[in-house]
Amino acid sequence: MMRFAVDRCTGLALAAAAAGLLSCGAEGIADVRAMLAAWLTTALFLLGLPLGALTILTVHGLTGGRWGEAVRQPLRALVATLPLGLLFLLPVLLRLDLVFPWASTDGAALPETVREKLAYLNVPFFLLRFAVCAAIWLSLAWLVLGWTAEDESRDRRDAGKGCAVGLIVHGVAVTVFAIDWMLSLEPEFTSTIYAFLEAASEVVGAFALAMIMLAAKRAIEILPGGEEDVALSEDVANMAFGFMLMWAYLAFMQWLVIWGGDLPEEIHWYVIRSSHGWQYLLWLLIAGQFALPLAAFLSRDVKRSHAGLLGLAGIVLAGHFIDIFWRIRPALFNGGAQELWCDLAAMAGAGGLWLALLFFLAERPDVIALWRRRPAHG
Amino acid sequence: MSLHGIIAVFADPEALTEAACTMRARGYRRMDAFSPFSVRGLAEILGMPKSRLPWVVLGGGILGAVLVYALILYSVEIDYPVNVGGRPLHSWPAFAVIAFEAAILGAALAGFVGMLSANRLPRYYHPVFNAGSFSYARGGKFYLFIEAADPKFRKGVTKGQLTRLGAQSVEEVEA
Repeated sequence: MMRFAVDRCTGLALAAAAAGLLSCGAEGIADVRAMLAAWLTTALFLLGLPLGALTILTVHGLTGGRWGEAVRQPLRALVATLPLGLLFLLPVLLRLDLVFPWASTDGAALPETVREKLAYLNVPFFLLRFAVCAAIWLSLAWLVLGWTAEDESRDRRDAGKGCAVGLIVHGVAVTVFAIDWMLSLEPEFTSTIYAFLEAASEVVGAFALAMIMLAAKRAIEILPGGEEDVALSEDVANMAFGFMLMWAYLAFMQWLVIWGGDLPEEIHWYVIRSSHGWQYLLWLLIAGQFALPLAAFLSRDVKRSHAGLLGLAGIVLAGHFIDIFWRIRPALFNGGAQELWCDLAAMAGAGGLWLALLFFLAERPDVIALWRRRPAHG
Repeated sequence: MSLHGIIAVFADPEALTEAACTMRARGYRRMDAFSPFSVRGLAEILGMPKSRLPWVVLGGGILGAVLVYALILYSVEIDYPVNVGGRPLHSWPAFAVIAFEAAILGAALAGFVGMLSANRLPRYYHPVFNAGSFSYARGGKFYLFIEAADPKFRKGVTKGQLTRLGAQSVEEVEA
């Protein structure tokens, strides 16, 4: 029954992907720039989920704890979708000049502050950095999937050291990635907290999705938690609460510092995101990723109810998508319903494809083990 | 000197739990238990009400935030309005941080005071210290205390029941 339902979901996702990719192609012929802008937003959201899962798995490798053992399987499936997430960025790489202002051919038209950054923000160096980041993540994902495999007697000490080094390298890679692909969409804007904010945001999204996948299969509100008289669902919900607060703290700090400074090139980032309709998205974001979970996670009854937990994780995941959309899309938006149609097409196309892969991997964990061939024990 | 109640000494937590359970089934309601560490399920058997401390802490947090925010508002709007770099007098992003800190302080204080008052502390005297078996030298066991004010309380009968439940010793406690 379960298998059948998953198969049907995979079928639906693939159908959505086919329809979405077709309309993406049609839109792409009509207006490449608009299509790429929409595609990039969705692709960054989808790639962020495996990256967040990678962060959680390496952190759990260092801290241990029952919550992480419970969500390990869904997180492993998420990490295994990393190659597809990286592939989603390839169409954008072909026409960087349409999306990134600093990559446009007319360098003289750029403002002075941006021209000074061109030593870093130029196409060959950008491609090199992306290649290095992708290589780091693919090898790290390969290693982490090996360390977290359950069926082999692995050396925990080695895994702990690996996770420590991996987390540092991953942190650097995410920083470079967030600056390159998100912050440099508006090259005048600078925020030193941004990369950390993106990393925290990825963790929130990945954990919420892992919670949904976990709760969809098992009744986690009656499974035992880490301590006596505590259900597993409470532990997992508390971790999600912590991750969510971390994100809220960083997001608020960026706002506080920029609001306090009130410098034109910085506050501009917030000005365009709180006008022309984006402010409604901002309210939705605050409600879905802060206010509602903050109130609900305080209640033990919600944490012990299956429907409440699923609903809450769904709201947080939707909030995470709004977060990405709100941060990235306004920089690339020219206005008009046509562009929103591109967004829908990209979400259906890339999202459907990615979901189909995720369903497949979640249902067949043995495939992940095959992908990550076990090291030969001498 | 009036009789406050009867205290029975048990050797292990299981015996205490079982005795408390049996006595409650017999209709005793005004009971208390003492143990060197927390015994699982004992609070439910004794009919302890669910802790209301979380609500006290929440109230303390909200009160702290509101009070401090009101204080800031009063000082910047009424008492000493200063234009800082053209920012509005009511600069909520900066004030939110202080209000948050005050919420934490208020919650912590409310938790501390609420815990003390829920346990009726500080209290310098409790009748149970009159019991010889509860003394420093002979203490460290598991105790079930039944108040004389309990409607089911009959001195001889209650003592006999406790002894049959396996109490090491049963003692009258003066108020």
